[in-house]
Amino acid sequence: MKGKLVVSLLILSLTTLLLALLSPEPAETIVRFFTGPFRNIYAFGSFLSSALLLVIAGTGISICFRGGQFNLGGEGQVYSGAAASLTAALLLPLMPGFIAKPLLIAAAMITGFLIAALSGWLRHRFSIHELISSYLTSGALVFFCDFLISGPLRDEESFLIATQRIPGAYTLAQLLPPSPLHSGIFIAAAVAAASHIFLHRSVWGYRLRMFGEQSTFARFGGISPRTYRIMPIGISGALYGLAGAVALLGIHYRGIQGFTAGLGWNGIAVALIAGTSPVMTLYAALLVAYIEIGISSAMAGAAVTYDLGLIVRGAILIVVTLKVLKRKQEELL
Amino acid sequence: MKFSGITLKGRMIAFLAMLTIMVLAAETPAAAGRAEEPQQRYRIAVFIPGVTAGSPIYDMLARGAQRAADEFDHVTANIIEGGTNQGEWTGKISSIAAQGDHDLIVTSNPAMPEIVNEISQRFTTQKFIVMDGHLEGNPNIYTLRYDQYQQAYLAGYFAGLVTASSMDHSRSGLRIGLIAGQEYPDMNRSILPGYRDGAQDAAPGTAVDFRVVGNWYDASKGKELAREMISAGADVLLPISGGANYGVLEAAIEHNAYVIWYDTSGYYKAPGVVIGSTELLQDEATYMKVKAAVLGELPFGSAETVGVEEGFVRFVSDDPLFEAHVPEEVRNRMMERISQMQQ
Repeated sequence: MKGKLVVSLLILSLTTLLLALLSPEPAETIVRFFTGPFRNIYAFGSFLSSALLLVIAGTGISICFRGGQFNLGGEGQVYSGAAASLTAALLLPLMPGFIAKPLLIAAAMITGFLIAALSGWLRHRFSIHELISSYLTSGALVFFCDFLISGPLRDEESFLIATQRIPGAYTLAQLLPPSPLHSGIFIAAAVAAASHIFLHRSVWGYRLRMFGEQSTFARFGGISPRTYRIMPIGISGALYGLAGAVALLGIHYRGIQGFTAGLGWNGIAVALIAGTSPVMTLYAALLVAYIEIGISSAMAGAAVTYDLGLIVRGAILIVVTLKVLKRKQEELL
Repeated sequence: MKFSGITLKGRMIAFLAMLTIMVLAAETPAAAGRAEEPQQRYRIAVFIPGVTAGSPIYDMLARGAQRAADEFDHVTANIIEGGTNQGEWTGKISSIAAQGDHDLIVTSNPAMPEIVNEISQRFTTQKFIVMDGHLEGNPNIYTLRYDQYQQAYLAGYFAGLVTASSMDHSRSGLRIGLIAGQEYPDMNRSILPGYRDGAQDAAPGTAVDFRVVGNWYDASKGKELAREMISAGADVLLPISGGANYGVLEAAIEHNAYVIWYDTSGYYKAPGVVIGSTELLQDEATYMKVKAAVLGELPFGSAETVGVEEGFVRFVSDDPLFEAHVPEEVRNRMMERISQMQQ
């Protein structure tokens, strides 16, 4: 817990420092950054709506970590999940919302699961490290999804590289207009609760943790290496897919090229900050979302480019990976 | 372990101290500024859907708005670069609108009206100016669109004159090319027909070879398409394909063809190869419209289309490189047509 505080402060200070260095009006920028999520209802709703996506994505990655695996394919998995949902929404005949929503969400989760599970299987079958294979498949999938949105699904009447809107009945309920906060927040809460029960109260969760900590020991205990090479990364893929579907049904309502970009990497940042506990995932998601909205608020008031957000995101990843590396080093010594 | 814990703690305290100082420093001038604020401040946010560097049309937008703001003591313009991810534009403009401290948001490109219109449903008091876009009927949005048909017509007319001329690289056969980044409504409905009609009027029977890169950045694809078009007989190319334009230019230099530049003057990019340019006077237009908005004279809710007659779309004929590389006869015929259009 104390470690988390240190990391959080480190991240916030680093962000502050970057803003101060890169802004022509450091004072105003920093004030705007810290007050960002609370300046108005829109900002507050955006803060929660971006945090809930991070909870979903981050929880998946935490489970993957607990299983001793690493999934670097988040960007492609989120985008593919969203694209699967989108394709189903646009091409299937019109359905009532209560049938369509679970269906679209399932489509996204299955897509994400299959993509990520492939990396787990490759690891099991051919000893190809999932770190590499998940990253590479993701890179290819991003282009494929870009193609879907700019090609077959493109709305010819729009000047954006975007598809048509999904039917109104398929969208998640708005909770705090005019902000984008939507009922996906309940999905995120369910994911957090379910992951806790799964990891700590189920036999699969127990096996997954054991396999993650000591795979050889687990194998001697009769735990199938194939299942537990595929399951953790598969779950993270499914949750990434879910995050993509929630972003589509709750915020964007249409596919726009690159509309889920960043969620994959931020999910990893959240899981790295959180470590292992689902409660900490909530905290880390709020922290990362705070920074995101803070920056967006700072930029709206002062003349700094939004790309600063990318720099900060990179810096956060460096800080949290340093922490993990340090822990690894201590384990080795 | 213990030791490193202490250093971390020390660092933490140092950071905290720094933070406190920064926040304190931040509060003072901001508060002071607010206290001595004149009666009515007018704040403008200029949202660039992309980046200004390397994009003349957005650069002109920023300069035009800034120039208008500089003329008044109580007006400030805040240039905000939104980055190239289209999926983020709605959220970013919404967060500017939500802050409620900008009287006017100015942006530009044909895709922005649909985004801004959606945002306007949520933030019903925010005023917008969208340049280079078209939307009528939303009482909070003013749009100004450049007549793309006319701009393409000018380019096409000139291309027709050149392909029919006896200029060095003009080959037999009346064939010209148009390379688009993507197909979009304006391209299919205004630009391509305008280009075609212009060429027909200048040299009846001219064929237009139309090809699409598929994105706005792939210069090697642009080059490949241009090479194919040149070998198929096209001797004048009009690239409207963003970064891919440079691939087209390279192919034209290597295989002796001519290029017409679109939206901004491009003669200097390759003297003797870029032999024509059409230009949008976006800086001037933005300046006028923003100024009108500040003065309360801009008819929000209306949509204007401006072209050659209004002077916001023009063929750049006063560049020395144009005079140096285009024979007088061709120039005269071009000027003749332009002055007809201006009436």
